[in-house]
Amino acid sequence: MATTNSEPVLTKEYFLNLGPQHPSTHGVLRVLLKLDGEYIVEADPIIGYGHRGHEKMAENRTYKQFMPNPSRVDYLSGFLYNHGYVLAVEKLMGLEVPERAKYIRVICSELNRISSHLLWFGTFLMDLGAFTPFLYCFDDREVILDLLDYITGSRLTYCYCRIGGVAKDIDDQFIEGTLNFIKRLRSRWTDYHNLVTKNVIFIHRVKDIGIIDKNIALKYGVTGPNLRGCGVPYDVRKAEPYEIYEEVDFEIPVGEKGDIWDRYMVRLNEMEQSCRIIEQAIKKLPRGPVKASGVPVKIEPPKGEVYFPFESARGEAAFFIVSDGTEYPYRIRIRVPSFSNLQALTEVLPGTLVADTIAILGSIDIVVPEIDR
Amino acid sequence: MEHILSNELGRLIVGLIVVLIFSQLNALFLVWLERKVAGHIQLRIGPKEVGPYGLLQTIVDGLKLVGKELITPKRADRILFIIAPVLVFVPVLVPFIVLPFSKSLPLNDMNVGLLVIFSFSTINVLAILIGGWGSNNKYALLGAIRSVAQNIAYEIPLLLSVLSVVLMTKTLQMSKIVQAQGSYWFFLIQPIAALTYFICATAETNRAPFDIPEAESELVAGFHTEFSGMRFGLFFLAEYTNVFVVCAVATTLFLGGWQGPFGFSLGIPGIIWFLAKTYLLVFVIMWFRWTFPRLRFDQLISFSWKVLIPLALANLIITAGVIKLI
Amino acid sequence: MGYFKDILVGGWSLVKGLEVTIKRIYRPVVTLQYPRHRIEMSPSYRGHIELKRFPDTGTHYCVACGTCMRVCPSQVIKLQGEKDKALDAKRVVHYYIDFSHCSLCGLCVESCPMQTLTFSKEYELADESRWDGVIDLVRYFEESAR
Repeated sequence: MATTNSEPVLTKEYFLNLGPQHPSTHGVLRVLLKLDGEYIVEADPIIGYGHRGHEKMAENRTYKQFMPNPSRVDYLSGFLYNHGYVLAVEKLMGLEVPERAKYIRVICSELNRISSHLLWFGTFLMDLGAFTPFLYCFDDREVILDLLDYITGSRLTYCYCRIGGVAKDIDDQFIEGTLNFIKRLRSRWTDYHNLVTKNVIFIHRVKDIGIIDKNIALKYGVTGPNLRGCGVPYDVRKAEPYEIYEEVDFEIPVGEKGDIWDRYMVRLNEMEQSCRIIEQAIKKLPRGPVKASGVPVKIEPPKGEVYFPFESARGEAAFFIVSDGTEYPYRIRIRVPSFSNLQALTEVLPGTLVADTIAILGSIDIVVPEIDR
Repeated sequence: MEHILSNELGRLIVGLIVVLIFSQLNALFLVWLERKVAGHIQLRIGPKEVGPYGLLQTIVDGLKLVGKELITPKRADRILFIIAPVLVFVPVLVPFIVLPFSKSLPLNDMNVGLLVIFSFSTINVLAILIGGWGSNNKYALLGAIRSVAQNIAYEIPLLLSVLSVVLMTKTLQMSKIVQAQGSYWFFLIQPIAALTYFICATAETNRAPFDIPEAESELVAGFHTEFSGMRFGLFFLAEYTNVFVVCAVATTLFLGGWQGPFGFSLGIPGIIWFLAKTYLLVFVIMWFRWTFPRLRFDQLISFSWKVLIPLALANLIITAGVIKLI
Repeated sequence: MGYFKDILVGGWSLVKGLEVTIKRIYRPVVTLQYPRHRIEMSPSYRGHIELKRFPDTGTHYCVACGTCMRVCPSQVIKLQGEKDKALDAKRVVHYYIDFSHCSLCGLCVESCPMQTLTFSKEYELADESRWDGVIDLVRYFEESAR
């Protein structure tokens, strides 16, 4: 029968809309996949579903009034953005911040970085089909949230830094809690490694999958753990140190190939480095005021512009502020790492399977509202 | 009553009603158990509000599913879409007829019992394929394709491992296989076959880490993406009933069925022994699910062909050789 | 040989993983059964704002200057004051906040010249209508006195 049919059976490529509502797109990302069977021929990330207009909002708010916004740009590392914005304004004003405030900011920032990485760890494993690590990570992350809640008053979108310092001083209970948390986190590594890192299924799912070439990463402006996973030791905290990062001793973990495994290990090691930074910062914590005196009530930076990069949990983020000398910023532009990191996917995804796509998407660690702002 | 039970047909009808009730209750219980196991592994409690220890939670959930509207997608193949849930649920009931719960309890202890179980459990795949194809959804189709490929890969080592036991007992009758394990259980002398069977059974029932046809982080819900209400419920119940069946078969083949260890029944009735062993295995399957990440589709198949099939085949050859020598 | 070693090492890693999860079954649960058990909010918890009661006068010090109204980034505060003839000072009559639009930045609390604003510890604020988020703080203040 088949031979009488002169037309050959043709296979056809088809499109699959991965998202904007899909369990593994971490928000509202849509990836348009062109598939050949289960293999990906073309992948096109489509963004913009989570646009809230933070940059435009800034033009109609005073410098102080914009304070709640940065932490909502990337809600998982809210403190880091809050911190970065304040630093940018301080640089624009040429304001000197008391030492103690700097230390407090760094301690909180690193705690927030750990909590962001822990959440990534959980959701990434969930993308790979393992549910339980997610809950274990949340158990650990809860401690950080409680600690930050204790001093900042919020659990996710912190608004604790102030132009010229921080809102209020930390106390011994917070310091003790932080040290206990570090001890606790270190005791958990064996469990995490036994459950995940050494697991043969996990190793097969991540080794040599989703390799981002060093050149592609640099071409697309990939930063953060994704770039360090490719073997480029670039970290804003080392390259252009701000606050007290010059005074503390920490390493930049790097990978070799740039596959998912490298990105995974980089993030895990980064948590340990963050612990080290916190410990040193607590040890060196000076006494003194936490808010600079002489900060004007009305914040009117001089005419000019400033670009301030900082290391968020996902890579190099930056605030670019143009001031026209009034109370309102003329323009604020936010450089977000997830945007560049996501664009590199178009080069990485073709040739992989649908299952790998999910794993790679998870390993890049994107926060979609951050991309759309 | 006496009259009905002595009659073969009457016995079968009464038995079928019991099977229907038991399989439903069992599936509901397993869903509850799964949620409790998952909860406690994840340092949570799990259901606790409805009934003692939340035991009635799944019944309430089931009632909710019954109350839901059955949505048939506009472009779905109506006939296939409607028969798929039925087709998935009916075959998983058939093995209950031959399962030897205790010495006197197999409804019909036919001499091809094992064959009946495996032939009917294969229909499950067909139902999944029909469901996935009929819903005319790309995710569902991908899930269906994966399911077929996976089952073709796993049927072979599954049957090979079962064959080693059959070679030893020289029968396909479930009760005789159990009786052959009077002094020692077969997993002691057939550890490789037991392990292979258990891995394949996990894959056969589409349970994690082999749940790639569902793979909710990749394919939303896989083959049952488009099914709503009790149609989804039937897929769900079938999955859990299937888990129970494969575990019951494992108990029969490798753990001595209704018998206690080394022939000591310790005064506990056979049916308790049987159910205890089966639920223990069910627990292990659940334990797997809440521990491991999911395998990738091609890795799963290469694992089957490169590891399980050679091992099962070697085991079968060695078994055959040893039996010949003895 | 590498073949068998891979299988054994892989299998052992799975067993180690199972060990981690089974140990957790016996550990006490970490979740809180929320409506049944509640926890204290942290001392710096930020609920909606409220008027602070000062013990020396038994009332708040709000003079309806409107600083909080101007500083609010989301414009959720509306207030109205009137001159109290007896005290010869302005007193607030209505102080409305639309909590559903508030982002809890705390600028109002910090900028208040009389320092009579503070964060409440209220956290069960789910409501049925968007207008339920509108609270008159003066009335809230009077009700909390009773």
